[in-house]
Amino acid sequence: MFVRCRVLIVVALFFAPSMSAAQPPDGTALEGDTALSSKNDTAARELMAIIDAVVEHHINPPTRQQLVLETLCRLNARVKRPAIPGLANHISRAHPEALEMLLAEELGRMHEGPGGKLEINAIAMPQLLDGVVDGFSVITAEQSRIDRQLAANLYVGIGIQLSSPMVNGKRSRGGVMQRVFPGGPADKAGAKDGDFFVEVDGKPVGRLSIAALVERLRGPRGSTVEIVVKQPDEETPRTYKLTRDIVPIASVSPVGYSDDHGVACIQINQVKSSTVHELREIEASLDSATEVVALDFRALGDFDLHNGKLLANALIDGGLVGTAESVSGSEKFTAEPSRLFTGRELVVLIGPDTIGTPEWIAAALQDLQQAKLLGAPTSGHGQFIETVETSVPDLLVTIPIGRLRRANGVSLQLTTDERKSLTKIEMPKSTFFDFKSITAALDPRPGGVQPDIGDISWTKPSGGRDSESAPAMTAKRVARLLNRETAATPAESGQ
Amino acid sequence: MTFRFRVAQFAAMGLPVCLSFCAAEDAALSKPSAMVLSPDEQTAFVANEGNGTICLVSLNTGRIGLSIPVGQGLTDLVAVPNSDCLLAIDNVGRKLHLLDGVEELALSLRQTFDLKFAPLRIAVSRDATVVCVTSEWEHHVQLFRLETQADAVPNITPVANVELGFPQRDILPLADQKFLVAGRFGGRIAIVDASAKKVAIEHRLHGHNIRGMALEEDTQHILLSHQILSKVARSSFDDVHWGMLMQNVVRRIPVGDLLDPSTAINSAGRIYSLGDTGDGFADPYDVVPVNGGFAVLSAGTNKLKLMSCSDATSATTTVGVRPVRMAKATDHRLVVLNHLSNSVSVVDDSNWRNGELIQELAIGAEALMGTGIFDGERAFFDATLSHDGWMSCHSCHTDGHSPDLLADTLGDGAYGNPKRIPSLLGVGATGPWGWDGKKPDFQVQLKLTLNSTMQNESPPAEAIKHLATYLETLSLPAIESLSTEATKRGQALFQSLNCAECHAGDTYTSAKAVDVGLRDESGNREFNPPSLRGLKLRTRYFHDGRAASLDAVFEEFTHQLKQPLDKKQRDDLTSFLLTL
Repeated sequence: MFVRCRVLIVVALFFAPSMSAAQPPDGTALEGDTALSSKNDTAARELMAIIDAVVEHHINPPTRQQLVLETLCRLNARVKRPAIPGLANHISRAHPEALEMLLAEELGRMHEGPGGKLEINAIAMPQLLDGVVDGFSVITAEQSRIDRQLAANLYVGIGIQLSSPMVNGKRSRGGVMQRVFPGGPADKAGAKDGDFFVEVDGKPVGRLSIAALVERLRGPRGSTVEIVVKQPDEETPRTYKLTRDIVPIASVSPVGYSDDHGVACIQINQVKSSTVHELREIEASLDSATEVVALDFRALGDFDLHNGKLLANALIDGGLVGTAESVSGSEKFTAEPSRLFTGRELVVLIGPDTIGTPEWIAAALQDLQQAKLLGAPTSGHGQFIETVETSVPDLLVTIPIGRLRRANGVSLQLTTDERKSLTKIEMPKSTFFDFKSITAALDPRPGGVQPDIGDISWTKPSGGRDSESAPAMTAKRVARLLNRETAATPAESGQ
Repeated sequence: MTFRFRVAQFAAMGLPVCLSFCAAEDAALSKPSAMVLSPDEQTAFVANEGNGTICLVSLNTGRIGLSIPVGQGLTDLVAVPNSDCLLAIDNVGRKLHLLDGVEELALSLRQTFDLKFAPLRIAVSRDATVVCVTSEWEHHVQLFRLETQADAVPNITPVANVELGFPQRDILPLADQKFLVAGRFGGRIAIVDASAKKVAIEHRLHGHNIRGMALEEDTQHILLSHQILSKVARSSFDDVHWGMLMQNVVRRIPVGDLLDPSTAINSAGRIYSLGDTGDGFADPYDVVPVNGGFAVLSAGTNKLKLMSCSDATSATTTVGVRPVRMAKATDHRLVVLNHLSNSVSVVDDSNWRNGELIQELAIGAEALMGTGIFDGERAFFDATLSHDGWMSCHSCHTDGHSPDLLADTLGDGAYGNPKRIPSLLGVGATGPWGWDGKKPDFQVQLKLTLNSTMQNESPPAEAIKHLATYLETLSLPAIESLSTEATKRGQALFQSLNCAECHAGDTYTSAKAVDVGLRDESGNREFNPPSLRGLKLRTRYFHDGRAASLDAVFEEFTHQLKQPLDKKQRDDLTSFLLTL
């Protein structure tokens, strides 16, 4: 899902969900009845904790009974057991307090299914409930801690994006530095993109899984790790002793200028606690000829309401932004006076990959007539997401807890019915819809935010997020769309 | 009288020096507050708030020339243009002093005027015809006519008081007989036209603690230093760390925009962020234009920053403790006055455009007699007690009082319910503390604030102890006598309405937490009744500042009233409350 995808690039697929139903019937599986039943109790407790959290916090939750029924039916199907007669009736009539016990009992029966032994993995719960509840995921406390570090741009590590090496087109064991973050410990020591890991702290790592390698590389701020790496074609490996530290990961790309048309383009890739600070630094360094600042939201999906408000507050020069609506109530949000880039015209670029709180910010800038929106309609996702605790200490649930409305009360979110009525294409099976394919099929459509100046073909930042020339190319295109290319040439009218 | 002074050895090389110039017997108390450079810029006349003297400091040798007793607590000193005179104001003695002898470096006191109010700042119009004085707590400025005469002491006569509607502090002379006057707590600024004896224009800046104002040489722009507290941000580590909660800025506003009443002042000009991660630059104070940019002091982190206006290139150097005033000499020297280390720092600004760090200064502060109060005062203004130096206690509790802004802290137990910043005047007597009234120990509340608002994981116990000692000395203006019938009727109403059930005794508060029908976003209903002392100094009321006037407290919110009060009753009651 959207939230996770950005996190994974840094934490390297640490939690590969494994809902492995089919295990060999032999080997270690011969446990006693007591052990098995206690295992089922634990699994039932964890599943119930997740179900409770979903019901309590989700903006549009099913009932607990529905979720218990759905969980059991799907698990049952996995172990290829026949349907349980009267299960729905049984669950509907069960006392709410008895649901956990019922779940544990049914889990116990599933171990005898023809599909083999069943491993219940709470982390994989969202996959199990695919299509029943919109976009939630289950994470551990450690993962939540790292998510918070990333959202605050205070991630502690050696500053690399790790991936599995590809050998003959297949992922193999060990790890390779797919990307070394500028300014991080690995970068400062001299490590390069594409370095293979040979050893970590004196032990070879070539046969480790990526999750195990990540575990070796992680540690608290100030602790040290010694790594031995080499490029595939290198003879002698290099050794670096690294001190783990905060790795600044810019959420904003470097500025691109449109030659002499007075347009600067800033691509925003994430909304972190540091984003406004980064924009302030960019503002300070802007070329004095810059009259228009184009903020590129086209690859910006973010769901954290607080960070979204901070960005909104920084970009909007006073005024009602809109409403954030959740199960605990609805809250009007008004931006304070003053904004970044004072004295310069603001333009925001939007597209189908503008998702979540950035849609809200763009809508408010449009409604308050403080910025022109360029590009294509936004996703119509319009939700905000939060990580909430469950009754099990190590399990947390990341959940869409609310929806965003414009100042005039119009929701930014397309309802499921709207989506269905608007599209003839079959909805994808993933928990999140494939907005790109929907957008391709529909245009224009309600929900989301519509541009003031449409340019439908232009839905993505050119050249990808790491390309240095992309913001400059965008700035030129913005200059063209705003008709600045002619305006900036020396006037000949003599007036 | 004996003097101690210390000159760094590189003084002779024309490099930055730092001078300590205090009389030994009252070193802890001199507290330099204002300064004027001599015409040859080799000497500074320094006015002292702590001991009421003006002393002469040689900027070349560091030698203390003359130190003359003038009054009790001098808060400002200005030169009268085209004359041999200085004007000093005495906040404690409530006096305006005229001195001459600038040219000869031999000051003598010529005239003294009594002032009705405790003066804070003084300014002389650019044409040297009008003097403007702001006073502590008062909502008006005082104007005086100044008649300079050849070879004679200038003549000063009171002209008028101009009502501004808010308490002020700094004054900046603009063209003609206009003064820009800034609020002491909030972001209100007004242009007082002395020739018309009225406020010409008023603007409301988004921000507070305006502590520096300067006019650029070509008089086309003004520079204003201030802080911006966001109520959208939280006092969480992340928001403090990235400068979201407290922003320390210099604003550069075109004078044309300032003089146009229709200008949306918050969209005019440009904001320069002074803080960065690792160096929050809290409490920006005096600002002066320097070579296409400006120099600005951080009174909270004891630093001076030079910044270019075109590309915000900057260089920072450390000066003395709580630098508050600054003067620019024409030979690339900046003279900085350090209020709480009794010292002057001289900084060379000739290389700043290359972004080179100016030479770091050895601080000339002598060990100060460590009284708990003095150490507490230092701690109160010390932003290094906060994470990365983004804020001091003073940043929110301005001069111990409050700008009446909202802040989303953990003071009420959770984020999401920004609360009005309480005034700390008289705070020692108004326990228990916290909005919920759950902190019976003052030092526990102080530690909580340092931990959870200023994001200091382990504030030194000594600092907390000294802070408590200092805060207990902060007092409110005295309760006024009931001089009018309205105030007497108001007092009778206060009694008959049984207000004292919660607002009891001399402190007009009580230790309980009461549900008064005001609910915050977290559903908290019970609040500790705030003291009613000092109501006249406040502008917003209730925990979230929802009432904009005392009248609104009773009319709009019918605060604890069984039946509504009519207009006359409300007027009576509020006039009584405003005497407290």
